[in-house]
Amino acid sequence: MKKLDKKFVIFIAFMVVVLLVPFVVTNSYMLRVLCNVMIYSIIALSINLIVGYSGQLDFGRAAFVGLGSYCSAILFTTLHVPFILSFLAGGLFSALFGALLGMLCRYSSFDYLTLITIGFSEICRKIFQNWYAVTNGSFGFRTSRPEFFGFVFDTPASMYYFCLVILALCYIAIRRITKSKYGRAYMALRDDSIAASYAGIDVKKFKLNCFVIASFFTGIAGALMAHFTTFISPTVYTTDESLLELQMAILGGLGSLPGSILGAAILTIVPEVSRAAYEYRLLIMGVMMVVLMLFAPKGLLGRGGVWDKVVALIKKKSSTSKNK
Amino acid sequence: MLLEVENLVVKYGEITALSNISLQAEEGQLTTLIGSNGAGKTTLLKALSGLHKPASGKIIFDGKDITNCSADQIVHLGISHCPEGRRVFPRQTVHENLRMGAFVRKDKEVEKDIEKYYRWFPRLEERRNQKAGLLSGGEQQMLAISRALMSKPKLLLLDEPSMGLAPLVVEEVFKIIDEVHQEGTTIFLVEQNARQALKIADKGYILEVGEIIGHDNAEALLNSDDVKKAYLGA
Repeated sequence: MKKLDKKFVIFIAFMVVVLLVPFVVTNSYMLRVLCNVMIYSIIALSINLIVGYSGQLDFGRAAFVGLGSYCSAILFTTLHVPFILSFLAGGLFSALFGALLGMLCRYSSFDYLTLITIGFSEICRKIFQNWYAVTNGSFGFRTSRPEFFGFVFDTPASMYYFCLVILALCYIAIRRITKSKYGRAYMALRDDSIAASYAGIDVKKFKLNCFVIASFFTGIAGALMAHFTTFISPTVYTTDESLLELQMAILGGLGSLPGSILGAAILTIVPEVSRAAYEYRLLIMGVMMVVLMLFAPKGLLGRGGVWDKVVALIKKKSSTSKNK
Repeated sequence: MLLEVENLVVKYGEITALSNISLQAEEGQLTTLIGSNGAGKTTLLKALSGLHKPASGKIIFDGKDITNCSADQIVHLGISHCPEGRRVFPRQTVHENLRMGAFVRKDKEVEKDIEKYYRWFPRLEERRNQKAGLLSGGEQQMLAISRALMSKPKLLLLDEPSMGLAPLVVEEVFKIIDEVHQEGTTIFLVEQNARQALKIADKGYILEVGEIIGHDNAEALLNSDDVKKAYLGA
C-alpha cells in the first residue's frame, strides 16, 4: 500500500508540473516543441501496442498518421464538418485502413506485415502527392485550428492543453487495453503463439484487432498533428518518419507505456536542441541509437532496460553498505 | 465415447508421420499412448488439438467431427492441450498464466477456480506474483497442467509431462495427474515414461513409427512380456 501511495504522489506531482508548464514557459517555440512531443507520444504509444505488445514489426506508421491527418483536415477545413466529428473520423479512417491491411495479412500471414506496411506507406505517400483534386498534391494545404462550439484553440497555451488532454485520454485508453483480457492475449501471442492458441486465442484475429486499435490511435495523432501545424503536405508522411516513430517506441522501451512518451520526448527534443549543430544532427541521433542498442537493447524504461538496471544497481549498493 | 479417432493419416509434406491411426478415449478414463522417441506421439496430439491438419481420417469429439476445426475452436469445444515442454507464458506472472488458461470462459468463477488450484499446488500460490519464466521445471509443469484445466475441459491432453524433470519431481507430477483423473477429468496422456504412465492409466495404446501396434487395459500391458521388453526395460 505504501508503495502505491508513493507512486500516486509522484503521479500527482508530475501532473501539477505538466499543467503549470504554460504559466511558466511563455516562449511559444518551447510550447510548440512540447506539443510535438505529445503528438509523437501518441504515435509511439500506438506503435508500442503493435510492436511491444503483440510483437509484430510495423515500418509504415507514418502512412496511418497521414490518413488521419488528411481525413480530419479535409473534413474540417474543406467540408466544414464539426471539429469533434472530423477529428474522430481521422482516427476511424486510419483504423479502417488498418483493418483492410490487417485482413490482407490475416489471409496471407502476419509474417509479411513488415513488408506490407512499407509498401502501404509508399502507396499512401504517392497518393497524397498526386491526387491534386483532394490533397492539393505536394503543395499541401492550410488547415484550421481545432474549434469547439465557437472556442478556437489558437494560442500556443490552449493548443498545449488540447494536446495534453488528447494524450491523456489516449494514454488511459491504451493502458486499459493493455491491462485487459485483450492486452494479456496480445502478450501471450507475442511470447508464444502456439501456447496462446492452446489457450483458445485466435492468434490471427487478435493480431488483426490489435493492429486496428493501434491504427485508430495513430489516426487520432495524425488528426491532432494536422490541426496543430495548420499545414499538411506529403513530405511529413515518409518511411523515414515511420522509422523515427518506431525508434521512439524502441528507445523508450517496448512494452513500457511511459517509455514511449520518454522516447518521443527525447527524439523530438534532441534534434531541436542540437539545431546549432544542424549538419551533425543525424550523426548525433545515429550514435545515440547505436550506443543504446549496444548497451541497453531493451530501451530506457522497458523490462530489463536502463532504468531497471539502475534500480537494481542502487538496491545492490544499499544492501551491501547495510551489510558492512 | 468422448474421443474417437478413425483412420487418421498425418503427413509433414511428403513424409507420412502417422498412418491409419484409430483409437478411442472413454469419458472419465485415463487413456495413455506410449511410444519411443519419434514414434509420432506429439504429432498425434497436434492433430487432435487442431495445430496440424491431418491428410485424411476423422477425429470425432463428443459426437462432433472436429477434424477441420481450428486450434482455438477446439479449445472452445472442450479439449485443452497441455503442451510438450510446458510452454508457460514466461513474462506473465503465475496468476496471469492461470487467467490466460481461462481465456475462453465467460463465467464469473474464474478467480474461485484459481484459488482451487492454489490449494492443490501451494507452491504456485507462494509464487503467484512471480514471472512464470522464473519457476523451476516441476513448478512450470504444475502451472501448465493447472492452466490447461482452467478452461474446464471435457478432455485434457497431456504431452510428455515428465519431460526434462528430475525423477522425484516426475513422481510428484504423476501423482497430480492421478488426482486430476480421480476428480473426474477425462485425460489423454502421451508419455515416453511407459511404466509411470501405465501405472495410473485405465487403458493404453502403443505407438511405433507412426502405427498403433497394440492396445489393452493398462494393467495387462504392464504385465505383458513384449511391452516389458520394449518399454519397461525389464
